[in-house]
Amino acid sequence: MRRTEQRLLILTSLVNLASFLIIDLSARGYFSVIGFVIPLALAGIFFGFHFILVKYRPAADQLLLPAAAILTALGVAMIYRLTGGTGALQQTIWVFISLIAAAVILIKLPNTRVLLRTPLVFMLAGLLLLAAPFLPVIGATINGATLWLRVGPLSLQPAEFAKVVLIIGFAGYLAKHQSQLTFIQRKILGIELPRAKDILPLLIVWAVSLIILVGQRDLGTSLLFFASAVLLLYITTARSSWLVIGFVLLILGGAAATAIFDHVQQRFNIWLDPFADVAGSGFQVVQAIYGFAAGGIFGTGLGKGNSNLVPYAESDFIFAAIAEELGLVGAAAVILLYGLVITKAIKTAAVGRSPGNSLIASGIAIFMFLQVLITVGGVSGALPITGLTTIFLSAGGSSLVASWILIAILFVLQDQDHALSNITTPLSDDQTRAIKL
Amino acid sequence: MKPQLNKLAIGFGAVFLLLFANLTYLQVFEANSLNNRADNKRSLFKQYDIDRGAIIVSGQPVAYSVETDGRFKFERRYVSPAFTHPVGYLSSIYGAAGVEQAENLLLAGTADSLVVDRFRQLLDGGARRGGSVALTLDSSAQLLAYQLLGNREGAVVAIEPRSGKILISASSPSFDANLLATTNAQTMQQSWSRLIADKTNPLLNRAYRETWAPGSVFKLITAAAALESGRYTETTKIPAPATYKIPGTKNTISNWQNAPCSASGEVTLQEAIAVSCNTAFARLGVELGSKQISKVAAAFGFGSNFDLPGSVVKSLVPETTDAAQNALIAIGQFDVRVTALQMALVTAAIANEGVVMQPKLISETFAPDLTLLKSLDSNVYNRAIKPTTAAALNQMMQAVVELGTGSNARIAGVKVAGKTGTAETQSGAAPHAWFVAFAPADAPKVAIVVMLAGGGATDQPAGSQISGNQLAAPIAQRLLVELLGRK
Repeated sequence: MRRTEQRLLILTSLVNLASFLIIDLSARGYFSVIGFVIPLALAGIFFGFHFILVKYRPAADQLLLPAAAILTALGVAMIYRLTGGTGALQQTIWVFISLIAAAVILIKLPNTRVLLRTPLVFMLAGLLLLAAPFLPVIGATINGATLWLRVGPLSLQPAEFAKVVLIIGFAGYLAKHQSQLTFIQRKILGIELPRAKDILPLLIVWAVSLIILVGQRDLGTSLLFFASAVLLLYITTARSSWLVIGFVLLILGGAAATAIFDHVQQRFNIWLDPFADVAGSGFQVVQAIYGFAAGGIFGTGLGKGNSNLVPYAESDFIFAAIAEELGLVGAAAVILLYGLVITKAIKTAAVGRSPGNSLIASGIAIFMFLQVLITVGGVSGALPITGLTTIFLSAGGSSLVASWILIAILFVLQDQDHALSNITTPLSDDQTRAIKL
Repeated sequence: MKPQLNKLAIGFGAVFLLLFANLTYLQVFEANSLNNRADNKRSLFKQYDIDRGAIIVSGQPVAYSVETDGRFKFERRYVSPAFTHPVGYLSSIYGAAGVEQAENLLLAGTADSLVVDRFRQLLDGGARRGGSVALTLDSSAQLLAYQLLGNREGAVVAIEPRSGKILISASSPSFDANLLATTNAQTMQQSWSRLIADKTNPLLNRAYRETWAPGSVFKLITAAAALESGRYTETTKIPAPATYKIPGTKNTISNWQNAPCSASGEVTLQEAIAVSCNTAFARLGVELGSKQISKVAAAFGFGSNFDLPGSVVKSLVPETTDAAQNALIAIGQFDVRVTALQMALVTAAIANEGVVMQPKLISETFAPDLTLLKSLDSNVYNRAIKPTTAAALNQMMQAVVELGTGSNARIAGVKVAGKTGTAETQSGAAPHAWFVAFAPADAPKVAIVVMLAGGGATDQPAGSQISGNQLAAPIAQRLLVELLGRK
């Protein structure tokens, strides 16, 4: 009956309630009603999802939901601390929508075969979603980036949903053309090169990434798509030549974009020396770095830092706020939780019953890994700053919904692959328990 | 696909390790140097979490921290703009000044001397508390000095000659330090912009952060140089015509009113000081040379920064072989520049038998539990002139007040020694009015300097001693009465 998950969710909910109470006490000095209501609501949402898993996907992994839930709940707590009750309530509603979307997939998606049947349709849909912000009327430009769709009161980032659709599209395409892409034409300098016509799809992805970079000024998404495509190609073919080709294309594209476009160049300059212009272009990164330093090993304590000095602390820079208030210890815990989710995805890929299933799970692992790397590396000064949101944590709906859809797809994969291997015997609780509490 | 996935997992793990290493670098190894960067506001905000110690004058706090209900735990309060310049301010955005800056570690509770207290606070679990600093200032005299300066630009410095304790260090115009210490960032920013845009420059501590032309008060140093040279005594006769032609040049120096300093056309050195005779001193300057004058000036502390919170600007006597310049230097013109504090030290040294004491503003420091940490000793800075020279100058300065140009400094029943000065800066501009004094002349307890920058009347002829006596001497007299009344 998924006891492990149940117990971990109780623990998650208690930790979340405690974090809200601590924030109320340290930042406000009194307990507020909303400080109780939000943790209770979140607990309710996660337990609801747990029961859906019990009913529809009993064989799915039991650590995945608590790990994603504690990250999501920590995000809401930090948003509560940084922007107050209204922002936290809004995010709670997005959590609800995200888990409803994920639940719909658990209930309605029979298996992943339907996803793998028409890869070109998915890829086309992904491209359309990417281009959607340029549509008249509903497309919108916010903060200089054309990434948004306005639907009534909501602002959506279709690129986030494009990620989901494109992962599926890539996986389907690669599964279909696996043997062809593995074919080696010749060796140059010890590198096994594929046939020229087989490189074409990768070149298309490369071109699309550059268009995103230039047209939408979205360095993060651009990098994410291209690097994901390269890594997926490698997994499909086991040919490291794809990594080499990808790396060369990345350097070429990056160098050209840096040379030609000011906004890309500026990002790189800030990255090279954020302290060159502390009050100007480097302000955000430097403030974040000061936040890391102020946090030290154990952090200032929830509600006791000065994370509000960092612009967009609750969205793009939420990891810096966590590192300031929860310290290196808290930041490491968050990275480990991401590591757990990604490991589960890789494991799902490893036990996949078909190349397509494995590739979807791999794609999810790669997407999540790259997003964590780009955002955590970016806010801590190790990589250039991009506009990517920190998955599960950042304020904002689109990314959260998309991430939970990916988690739901993982559940579907785990359950169906497990089900296929154990058609006759139903699973005992012990078999799906990964750790004993 | 498993081998590739294994490699992928290993690669991901390695990259996460790098991320973790970078975080460790930022949050552990580099944290200290990042926290100490001047543009890091977080560290300044942290100061609001400390129960910062008080700065105490005459037993009463003039700067202290109060607990607030707002975002910050404590807010700094200052009692009066009269204390702003020596005490300074602590601003989260614009840094610190004065004693607040110089004694920051002690006030914030992070000084090494407070290590025991910090350990105790750690056990208590309370907010960090800082130590306190007591100043040498005399509270009511300081307030009175600031009040007497009024809206004029100037400074008053009073020193206890035997100890070097600064009793008054007033500068006008001043400002309300609360405006920069407020926890309301907007008020703070607006106040700061107003202060730096203000043409009267209220941020400047005129007592020792700026030098001025001294005019005739500098004649004390010229006279000291003459006496120290052994070629002159207080009774040496010096020609004192209405106009002195500088040898080897076409330049002349005149007395005000263009009259000789005495009927005979000759004065003693004592009379020359008493009536502030320009022609006699110009001749002295040419005969002594600026080298001898600046040597004596250096013995009094010219060219030194001393060791005061906020640091003292160096006073300066140029060295030259040009006769005309030597003549001007001797009467405190040309490029001679002094701080009010330096003139107070010269005056105090004359009162203290020629010994310059190290000026001090801080008398005691206290731990957070108010136990005494340290009581600061009085130290000799330098034996500037011989006791006999000092005694002669003392007599001359008494003559200034009793018979000469400093009549407004007289106090019934107390012998006062003084010297007037009216320093031209440029023709047409109002001169600086100076008065230096000490009292009682036979057993000196207080030396004082009053300087009103551009405070003299413009309608008086050059070299007139009227401004010094009319404007500065009454302030000095009033403050001497105040200080001696309780000494």
